[in-house]
Amino acid sequence: MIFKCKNCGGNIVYNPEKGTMCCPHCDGLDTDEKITGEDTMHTCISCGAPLENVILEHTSATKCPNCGTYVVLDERVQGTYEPQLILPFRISKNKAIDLLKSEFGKRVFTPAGFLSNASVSKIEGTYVPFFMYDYDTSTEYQGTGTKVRHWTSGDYEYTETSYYDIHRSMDATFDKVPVDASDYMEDQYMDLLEPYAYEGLEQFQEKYMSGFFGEKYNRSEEELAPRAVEKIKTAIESLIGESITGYTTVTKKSMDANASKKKVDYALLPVWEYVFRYKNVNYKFHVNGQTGKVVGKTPVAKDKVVLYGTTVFGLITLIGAMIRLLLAAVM
Amino acid sequence: MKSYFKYFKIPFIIAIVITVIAIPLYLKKKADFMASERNNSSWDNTVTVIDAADKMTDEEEQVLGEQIRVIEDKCQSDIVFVILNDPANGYLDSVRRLADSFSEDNHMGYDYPGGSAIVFVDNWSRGGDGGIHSWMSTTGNIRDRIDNDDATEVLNVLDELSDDDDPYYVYSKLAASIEKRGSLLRAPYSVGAVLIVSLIISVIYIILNWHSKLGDVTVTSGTYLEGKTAKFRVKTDTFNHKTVTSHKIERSSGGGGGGGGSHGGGGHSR
Repeated sequence: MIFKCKNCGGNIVYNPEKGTMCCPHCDGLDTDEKITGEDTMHTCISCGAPLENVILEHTSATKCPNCGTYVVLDERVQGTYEPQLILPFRISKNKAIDLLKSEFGKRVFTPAGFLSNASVSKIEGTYVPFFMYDYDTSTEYQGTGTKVRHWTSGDYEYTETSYYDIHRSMDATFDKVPVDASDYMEDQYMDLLEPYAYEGLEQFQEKYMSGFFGEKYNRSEEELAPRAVEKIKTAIESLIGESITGYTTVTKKSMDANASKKKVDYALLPVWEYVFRYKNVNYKFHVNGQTGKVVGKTPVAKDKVVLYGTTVFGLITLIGAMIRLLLAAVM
Repeated sequence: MKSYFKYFKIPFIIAIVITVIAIPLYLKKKADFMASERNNSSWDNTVTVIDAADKMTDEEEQVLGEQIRVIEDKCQSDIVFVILNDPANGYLDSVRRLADSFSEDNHMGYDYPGGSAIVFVDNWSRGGDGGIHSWMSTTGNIRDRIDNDDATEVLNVLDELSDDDDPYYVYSKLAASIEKRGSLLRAPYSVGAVLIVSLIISVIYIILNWHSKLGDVTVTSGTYLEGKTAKFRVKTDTFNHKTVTSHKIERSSGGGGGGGGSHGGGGHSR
């Protein structure tokens, strides 16, 4: 499907800043009309150009390389692939570029062109498939805590160590623990982009995908549930730890955490992705499309390290030597 | 290159300003003291080395003498190295008296008789205590730059000497050490120190700017927790037992101590 403007017939897209469908050609607001076709998996509904090269195994939304129309693939957002929830983009492309420049603009060893307008304008917005797990948990924790006290009397120093048995039984309910269901998106990047503000979650509507790329889930929720449980156990361990205070040392004897799945939602979450290729390596940068959090590690240009390093060395040596002369002259 | 110059704009300006101020001031001071003339006709300051012990060759004496004459102008102080082999002055105290009286008796002083002067006496004759004793006597305003501690430190270079050594190179090092401490154009730190500090700062700069991390973890234990709190059914901390250990404190004691005229200086025995 594609979304066309009722006024001018142009491709209408979702505008994150205005929070509504907006025609980039005539500036019409909410003038969208959904157009569906017979063979959206192979040809562009707008111009008829073949889409085989841009539709990969899990693509659910893409852009026609011929006419630039944003196409949402009906088969990949309907039926078993229909998400329950979607978090629409709140960060626009320009804002995402500004956030990247603000985060990495002061990094001096980045290669030339890293944040050039020509390069960074290739940033693309993608709806990443996530499963959101709700779990009820019950945890039994046993541990030993010590409190150590020192004092001196006469020629002797005394150390008193008091031992305590620590017992915690905790019930906790976790809501919407997100696990990305995309093999392309690396887990460590996706984990660092969290948290998303769930207040913005809405029932899925295809129109939010117009103007962006997207994927359907690559793996089932059963396959990904262990990662959700792993995240929950890490949180449980922290919660137990926060409840144990006042000890010099704490040793865990046992922790038994039972987690029972209550509900799973399939959702699409917004991520801006900028890929910079340097010396045959792709450096990926992501911006949370809702909160604006930036994640990524910058490449280092060794020629810049040498140039800037030697300049710093030369300048400090020159300033130090001149201050030495100045002091010799005034002392 | 535009971003390079923009990035280093302020340091470049600072370096240029300091250079523009420092070089003329230094050159002016250097010109001033090069123009200042010695004001004492009572002592012939071309006499800078008296090698009565015949420890150096004539050529070495001449080279050392020329080195010391340059240092005299830089320090604006008369300087003489007296090398003896005199059994009559075999103790450190007598060597000190000899050095002190040498400048007084010969009316040494760059600015006036009795003014700024350095007399270094090295008596190669082993004294009654078995040592070879040396003394560096300072008078006048050179004492503002070479105090007694400095003089003692300068003489430490004599530790490199043994009975069979050719002492020329050690005396030359000693003269250079006098110049380093006594020169009116002396700097408070060396060029080597500047280079080391620059290198350290440059390495730190590179490390700090090289390092980058993927991102900060902003998820907390309560992020996905319903109601933001967990319910504790049991939360008990029960005292089990205690242990007490002791050890004797080792005490130690110790102590120390330490302890001026118109002459200053320092001595050395080897």
